[in-house]
Amino acid sequence: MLVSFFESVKYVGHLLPISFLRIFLGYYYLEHALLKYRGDYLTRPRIADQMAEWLPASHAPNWFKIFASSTMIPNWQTVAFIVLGLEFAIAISYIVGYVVRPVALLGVLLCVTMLFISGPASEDLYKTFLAIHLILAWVGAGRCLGFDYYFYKRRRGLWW
Amino acid sequence: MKHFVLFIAVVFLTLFLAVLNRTDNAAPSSSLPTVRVFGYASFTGRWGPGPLLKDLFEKTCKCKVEFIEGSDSGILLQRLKIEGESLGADVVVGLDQFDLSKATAEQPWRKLSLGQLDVYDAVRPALANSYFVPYDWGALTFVARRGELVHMPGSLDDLLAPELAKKIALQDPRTSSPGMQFLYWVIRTKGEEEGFRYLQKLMSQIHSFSPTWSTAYGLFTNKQTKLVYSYVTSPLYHETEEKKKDYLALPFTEALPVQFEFVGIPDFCRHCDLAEQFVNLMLSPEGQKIIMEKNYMFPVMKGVMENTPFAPLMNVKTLQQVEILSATEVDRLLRRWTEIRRGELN
Amino acid sequence: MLRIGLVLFLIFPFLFLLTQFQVTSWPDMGELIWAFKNSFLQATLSAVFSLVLGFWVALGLLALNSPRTRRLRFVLEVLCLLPNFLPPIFILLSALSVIDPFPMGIAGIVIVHSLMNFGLAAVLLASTIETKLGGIIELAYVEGSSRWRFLRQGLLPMLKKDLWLLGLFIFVICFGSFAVPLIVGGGRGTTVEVLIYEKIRLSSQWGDAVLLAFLQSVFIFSLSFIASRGKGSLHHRPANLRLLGSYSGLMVIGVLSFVYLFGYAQGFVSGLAMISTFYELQSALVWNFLGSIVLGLSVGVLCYGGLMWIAYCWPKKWFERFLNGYVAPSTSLACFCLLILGPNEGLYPFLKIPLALTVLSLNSLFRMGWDSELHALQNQMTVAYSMGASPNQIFREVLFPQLSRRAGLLAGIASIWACGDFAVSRILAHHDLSIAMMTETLMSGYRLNQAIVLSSLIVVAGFICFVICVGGSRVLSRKFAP
Repeated sequence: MLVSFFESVKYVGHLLPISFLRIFLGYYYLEHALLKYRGDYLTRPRIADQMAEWLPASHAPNWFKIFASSTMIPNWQTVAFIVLGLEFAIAISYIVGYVVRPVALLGVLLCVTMLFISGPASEDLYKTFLAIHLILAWVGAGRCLGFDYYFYKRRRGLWW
Repeated sequence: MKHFVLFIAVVFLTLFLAVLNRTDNAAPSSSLPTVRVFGYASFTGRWGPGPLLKDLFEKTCKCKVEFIEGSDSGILLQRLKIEGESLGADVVVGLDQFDLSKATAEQPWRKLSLGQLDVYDAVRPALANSYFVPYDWGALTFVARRGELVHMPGSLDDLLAPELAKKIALQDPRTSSPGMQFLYWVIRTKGEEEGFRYLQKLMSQIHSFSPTWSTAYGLFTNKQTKLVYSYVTSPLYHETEEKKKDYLALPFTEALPVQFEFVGIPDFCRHCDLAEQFVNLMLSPEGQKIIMEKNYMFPVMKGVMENTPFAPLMNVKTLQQVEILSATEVDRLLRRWTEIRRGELN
Repeated sequence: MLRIGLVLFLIFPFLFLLTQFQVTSWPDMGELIWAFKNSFLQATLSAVFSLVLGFWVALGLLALNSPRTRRLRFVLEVLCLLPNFLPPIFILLSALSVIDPFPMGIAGIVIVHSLMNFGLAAVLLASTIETKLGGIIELAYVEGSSRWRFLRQGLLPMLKKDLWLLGLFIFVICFGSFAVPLIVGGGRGTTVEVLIYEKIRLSSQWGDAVLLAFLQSVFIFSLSFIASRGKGSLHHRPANLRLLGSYSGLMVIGVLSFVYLFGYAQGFVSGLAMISTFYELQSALVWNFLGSIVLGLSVGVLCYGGLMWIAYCWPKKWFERFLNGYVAPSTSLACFCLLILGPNEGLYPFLKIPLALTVLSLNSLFRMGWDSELHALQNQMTVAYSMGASPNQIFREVLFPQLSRRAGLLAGIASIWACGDFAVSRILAHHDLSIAMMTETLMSGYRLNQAIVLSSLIVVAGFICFVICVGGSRVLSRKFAP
């Protein structure tokens, strides 16, 4: 497995630049997730406050607004845990290059949600991330400098 | 797909464990001190008064409150004895009067200086102990369903009526505190010899002696029995939460026994001042209201219960003295009880 | 060395507590004999009736051994096993509401115990009959033997030892039962387990409690000499079991399930009416559900490891004798022992609870068929040993691949028990960690029907753990196949 990790540079070398982007994004997510984990993100209703503040002005469809205010805000602890879990999952997956494609799709989902519940200041950032996640999913960025290559080599299929 | 699901599951599981570990361990290391309250599950649990008291206290104390759960008061004391200081409890909640002598014998406690407390007369005898203070109390009696019995029993002797044969749910005094209260009630009212003779006769009327109050009460609510030994406030729970008015706490001619629940501060407390503040909060009007509404017990302090559905329930005749039995005395009574029980095959 | 390690692991609660507390006096003999007599009587009768019912139900399950009916059989097996891991109070309430008037006393204890254990006996017996006697049953069918004749002259003599072992297994479970004898046992409700609890809770006589538990173990140990080992056979192929299969057994499952499910379903429906109380607790529910699964899986993994450990140490006469006779210490003793050992915060409950549950259940799992599996492989081990294979190699190449599935199944059963446990967790944990604990908290505050609704999540969690354990063991057996 370790051999194929490095071997990938030789066989899918054209993906190397994009895998650096992937690793960088993974690192970014890891840093943010750790910050949230060490802080009071899970213990204080930060995400609920954020939603309550920005949801009325957001471009989100109506059903999302209803869902967010009726289910997400009261259960902010669960939402915060899921968001943090997803950030950790994206971080680890991107850094080691394992199950990158499906995780990138989760990243897209996360970005869309954050786009809906965040203020205009971070809108551009989430839009850029959204595009990057989509591209990483599209090209299967885990196949270069990542463990996905090992599975890709043996099993092929859509997931790697 | 399998890899993906497994990966996500592992990440979330790890985070879950990390969070669990963090909430327990990281708290003391943070700048805020943590008051650890050791109590039984229905006090500290989500439906009990614990979480609301915690929120109220944390608003003012610049500290964190953390609960440690024990199953019941008997096990609570055992854990306190065994784990001692390593348990890290600052406040111990939920001991009743039968536990006090054992608690003081096994463990040094801090004296409480709470000043003059404006408590109900029924509570006054329970203030004699300077290490523990009662925070709620309840009178125990039999609870029945309306209209189910032709003659509602009004005295201990009425419990021997043929109509009630095998229809009374009681708790085993060896394993349950209300069970012990019943045994004590009979002995106090009738005297020891006569009391045990009465218990002998009563055995044929008993459906079962359950190990816990909740089991006995479950048997009653599931209509297995017509009477259960419980608190005078029990019908109020059904009225408030289930909107059912079917239940009725029976008035008895004999004065009813009273169960006090005490709070104390062990000598090894780490944040003793905060612990004392927490005890004060429990005795404050807000704290007493929370305890009353969540525990379905009477508050000890005056001025909380007035104009609530609890007030009329308090007008029952209760035993005037609070006797704190020694451990050997409790042991002796239980031994006699077991002897009688042994003779009964059913 | 490993053998002694395992023995020490299993008896360490006794050893540890004996070093901590001194036996002050010999317990009151009259009381002790009375309690032993009660425990013995109720456990014997319960074991006999569970076995009889279990045997009948097993015949019903065997009637469904074609691939078409496999699903139905699985559902019925789950129905059979359900009462074994739901909190006993639910089964009790159901039984009491269906059987009216309920006979209190010994008869009552035996009814409830039989209800709780018939399914386990049935599932284990059905699988034993299938694996050991499938071929013979088919042969008898072809040769034209009648069912009764085969039962009398073939099946019962051949299964005698297994039946003894299974009987002993159920006997041990019932002997240590606490709540059921107390509630429906009348004057005979005082069992040794109650005495132990009483000693700890009321009089803090730890030494006496340990002594009682020890006496109980010695008693079961000596009983185990009566029951000797069963013979196993692992060569299993699907066989025609028409000779034995009996649809009346399915009827028995129906009737018994009705008895224990009726009250449960009633409570469930009235609890659902109050489901709004759960809305504010959604996140707590999610956490505790995950907690149940974590506990269940860790017990599963530990038991799987423990069983493999036993397999690795096999065969040795004294070791086998020890495992057959050993009885886990009473729940409260094992828990308090772990409570004294080391800190109890943070992650420790997640280590200690599975450890306690493993100590308490490993031996039951051993009796549930692990020993006969090991016996069945003994010949292969002897051959391999005489050919010069090392113990490591024998374990890796002979034992592990053949035993992994069975170990997974047993570990799955242990994980189901773990999901339903609240007695151990309540002592060792500082707050509600699992759905079972939440259920118990609800019950202690008037909310019985909501507790019943919540307990359905225990079933779901148990099922998930079971599937993961069984699946995981299959993957392992394939991965490590030589």
